[in-house]
Amino acid sequence: MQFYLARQLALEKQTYKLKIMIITKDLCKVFRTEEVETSALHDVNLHIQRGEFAAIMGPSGCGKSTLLNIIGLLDNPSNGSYIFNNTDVTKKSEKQRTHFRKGNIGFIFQSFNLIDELTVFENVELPLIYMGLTASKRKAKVNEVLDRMNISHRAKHYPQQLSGGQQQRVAIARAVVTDPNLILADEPTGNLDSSNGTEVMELLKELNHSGTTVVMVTHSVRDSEYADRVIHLFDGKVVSENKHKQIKREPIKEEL
Amino acid sequence: MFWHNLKLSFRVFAKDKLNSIINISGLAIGIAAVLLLSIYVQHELSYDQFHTKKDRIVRLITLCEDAGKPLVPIVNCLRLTKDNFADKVPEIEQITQSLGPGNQSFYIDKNEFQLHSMSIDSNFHKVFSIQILHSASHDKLFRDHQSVAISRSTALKLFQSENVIGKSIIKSGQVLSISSVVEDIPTTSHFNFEILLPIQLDENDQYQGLEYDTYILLQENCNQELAKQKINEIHTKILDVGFGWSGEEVGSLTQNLLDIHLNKTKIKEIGGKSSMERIYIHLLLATLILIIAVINFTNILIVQSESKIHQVGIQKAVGATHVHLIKSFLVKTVSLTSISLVLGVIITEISLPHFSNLMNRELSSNFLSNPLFLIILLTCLLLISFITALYPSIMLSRFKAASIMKGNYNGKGKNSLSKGLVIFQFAVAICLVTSVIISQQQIHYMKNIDLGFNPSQVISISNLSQSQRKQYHAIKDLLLQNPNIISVSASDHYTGMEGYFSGEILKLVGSENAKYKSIDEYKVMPDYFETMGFEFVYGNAFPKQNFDSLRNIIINEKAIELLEIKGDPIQQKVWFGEEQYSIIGVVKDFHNNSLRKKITPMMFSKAFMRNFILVKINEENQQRTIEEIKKVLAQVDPIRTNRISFAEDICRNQYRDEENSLQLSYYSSILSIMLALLGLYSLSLFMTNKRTKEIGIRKVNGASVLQIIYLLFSNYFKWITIAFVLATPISYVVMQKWLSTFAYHISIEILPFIIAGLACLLFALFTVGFQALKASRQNPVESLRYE
Ligand SMILES: Nc1ncnc2c1ncn2[C@@H]1O[C@H](COP(=O)(O)OP(=O)(O)OP(=O)(O)O)[C@@H](O)[C@H]1O
Ligand SMILES: [Mg+2]
Repeated sequence: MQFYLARQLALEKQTYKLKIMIITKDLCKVFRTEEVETSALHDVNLHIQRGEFAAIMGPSGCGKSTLLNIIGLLDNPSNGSYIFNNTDVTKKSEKQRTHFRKGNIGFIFQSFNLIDELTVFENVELPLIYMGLTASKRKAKVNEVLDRMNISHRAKHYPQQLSGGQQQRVAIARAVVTDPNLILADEPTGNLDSSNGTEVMELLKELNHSGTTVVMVTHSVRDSEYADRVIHLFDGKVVSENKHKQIKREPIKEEL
Repeated sequence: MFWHNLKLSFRVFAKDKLNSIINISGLAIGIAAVLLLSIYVQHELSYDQFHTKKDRIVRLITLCEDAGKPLVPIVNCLRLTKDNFADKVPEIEQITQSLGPGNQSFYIDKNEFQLHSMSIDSNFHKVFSIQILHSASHDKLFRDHQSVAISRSTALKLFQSENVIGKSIIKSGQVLSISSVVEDIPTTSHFNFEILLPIQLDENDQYQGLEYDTYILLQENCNQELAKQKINEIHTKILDVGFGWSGEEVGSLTQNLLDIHLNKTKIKEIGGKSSMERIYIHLLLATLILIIAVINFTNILIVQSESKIHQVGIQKAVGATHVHLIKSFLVKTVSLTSISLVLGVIITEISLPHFSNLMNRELSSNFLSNPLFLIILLTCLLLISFITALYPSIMLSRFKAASIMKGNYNGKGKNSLSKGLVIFQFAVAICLVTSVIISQQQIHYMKNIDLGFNPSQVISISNLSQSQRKQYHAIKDLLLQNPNIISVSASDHYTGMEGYFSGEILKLVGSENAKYKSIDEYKVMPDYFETMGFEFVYGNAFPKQNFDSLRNIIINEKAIELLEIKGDPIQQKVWFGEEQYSIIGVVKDFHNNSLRKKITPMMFSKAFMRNFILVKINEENQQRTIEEIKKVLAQVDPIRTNRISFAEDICRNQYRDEENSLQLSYYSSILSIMLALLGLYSLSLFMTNKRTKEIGIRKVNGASVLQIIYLLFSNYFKWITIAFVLATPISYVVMQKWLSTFAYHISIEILPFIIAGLACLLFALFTVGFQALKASRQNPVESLRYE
């Protein structure tokens, strides 16, 4: 029995580990400029599970975007460690980080960040080009995703010709076209009115239900209700983690 | 407000030091180039302006038939007297004639000096503004025919003092006394002298031909056109009397003093040192450089401010009007432009001596005291400030503050002009670089070609004294005792130097109906052919026995064609003057001219004049042998300084003009590359700046550093390719045309173009590489942070 329990425990630990996508340990980020030194993150410890929908909230300047950028491998922490998909990526070079990111992580920004000179289709196609897919495969994928986002009739348009809601849907299409495991969204509804905002949140929920992990920074309490968990940051520190509801896809914890 | 703006502009400067320094120095170099060119143009235009009567002075020109060519202008005239000329035209106030200028030897206490001398008549300083500083006889240059006048700087050079009246100077054994010292005339004069001699000193029976430079001072308030017409009529009549017997046609021309240097009269054969075309080309060049430099400057400045476009948007949002924005731009550009101007002036000062050398002029560095240049500088300042302030007002008024801040600001299409400019600049650079390479190749080819004879290791001794000429045979015997001397000969010419004409006529005996053929003649002493390394195709050199008495000549292969000799040319006879001569040898064709001209028919006859002694020496101990030759010459005439040169150098160094213009185009191509790179730099700054957001997005979506660099480079590569395609045919045609001015020239290969293209590409990649690298390595978080 003891042996059984021990084995069970070890197994559970291992499975739990497999279920965890993001582990940060004592994560710090200090920005140094010539005059000032800003500590944006301070000893942040987080676990985010595969398939979770997490929201990060907090007052302006508390380090939300900084945290998201580190999670998204756009930036390196100054201190502490970060384990992404069971790999320690704390000290990875930019080249290696780019390699990790490719196809695994999709980004959605408040200001959409579409390239003005490229059409909707070309904007969405971009990550696939960098993944090295052939033109025909890219076309199929892009069209499928544009369909899903309900924006295929605008494929030949330029970003400036679209409304904010439509632009954000294009940005989401670009973020998911590679079928990433993780979607990071920094105030995705910040520039949108409430109906467009709701639409975007519904899309994120849908993606989450189909198995994608979503980490979202938001100021809106209403948006945060879509999330399984809300992480509150204050002055670069995690102050609380509220669970809105039981995370369904967390069988091991349920069994315990 | 002003101080606030000034503070802001220096903050921008300090924040972006590299770009600011590049920008300021780029404009400074442009300004320096413009200043140098303006100094040159101003110098050229000021020629002969210092004569107070400049508007009334004309130069008389003779037209006469020459070698079948009708009416060739010659700047020299016959000696004109008061009776037969001046008195016949009442509009003539003064007429002055002179001989020279040329270098002559003078002696002071046995020390020899070469002085640039002119022989003038007593009217000279009545026509020209010559300021007498010291004079033995009031208001006169010469006291008598045994006195001379020297310039102030010459007095200082020879006697280390200014007032040297009464001191003596010796010319050809004649003791002359200095009777006046005159102020140096400016270098902007078409004639120049160190010493003035009375014309009577040089005048003897020998000079009865077209020898005199003739200047006429017209009466004030006369009808100049009418006067010139009369002068030409009388002059033609006088020439007719002088040359009528030969049946040659003659004519006369007048040329205004102020037209001489720039050859505004467009008399090709006696072209001045410069021309109006040259002035226009330099002015055009200066304008072009200025425009390009200003556009580059403006571009970089705009990029620097554009990165603050959000700030501008905010400024507008909080109530800044157009005027405010323009003012702030003005303060910034005026302060930066002023720094560039000062730097430009400093660069000009530093490079002026070198530039003077290059342009072969004495350009004065006191241009800052010239109001013209202050005007140019001020215009630059205003122009640049105006353009730079104009731009943002146009650009920014098109964008609403809100849209700028929202990040919808989009500068699409507006830099097609700068793109065109960069392409143009690179096209110019590629043209210049290829032309430099091709002319370099041509000059190398000319200097190393097989001349057809072998003048290497031959010393040519000139400036021989009378006694040295007379004792030539003794000198030769003495020289031949030296084991390092292989052979010795003498001649009346520089073998292989362009511009030698003797104008003999020949005709084959037996073809009595044929016309006389004109041919040039080299007169030579025994051993000439051996010394100069000629190769005989037929026959032999002149025999040493009975050298003087036998009537024979030697010709080259071209002369066989000319004389239409069929069969063996040896022992054919020709009519040479009244006498019959036999051809005893034919030498292989050799370059008797520079490579600009085709090889022409030549004949060799026997010399009685020995202007040059030729000495072939061993390669070893060259320097010692030359010293020994000098000793031998001094044995015969201890005071004479002979000119000693290598015969080969004389042949191979005939390309000064080409080498000078090569140097000039060398510097222009460096300047053009610098400007082009600056333009590219500013444009790439523009582009990368505009694309930082795009680069950030691409990187977030998985683009690698290499992919971003490739993205940025592909554009620059495209522009340079376009520039290359534009430049190549132009450069090819122009250089083909230039090469065709040489009778013997290289053919244009593909290599110079490849080198120029690759060089521009490499420089360009180097210029933008740093920026592209910086942009591609930038953390995307940074570039997207403010979106
Ligand atoms: N590149 C940088 N250089 C210097 N300081 C920075 C930099 N990026 C962020 N910071 C600082 O780090 C802190 C956290 O910034 P962050 O952008 O993460 O805030 P935030 O929580 O996203 O705020 P908001 O809700 O306004 O977007 C801030 O104090 C900010 O000034
Ligand atoms: Mg933020």
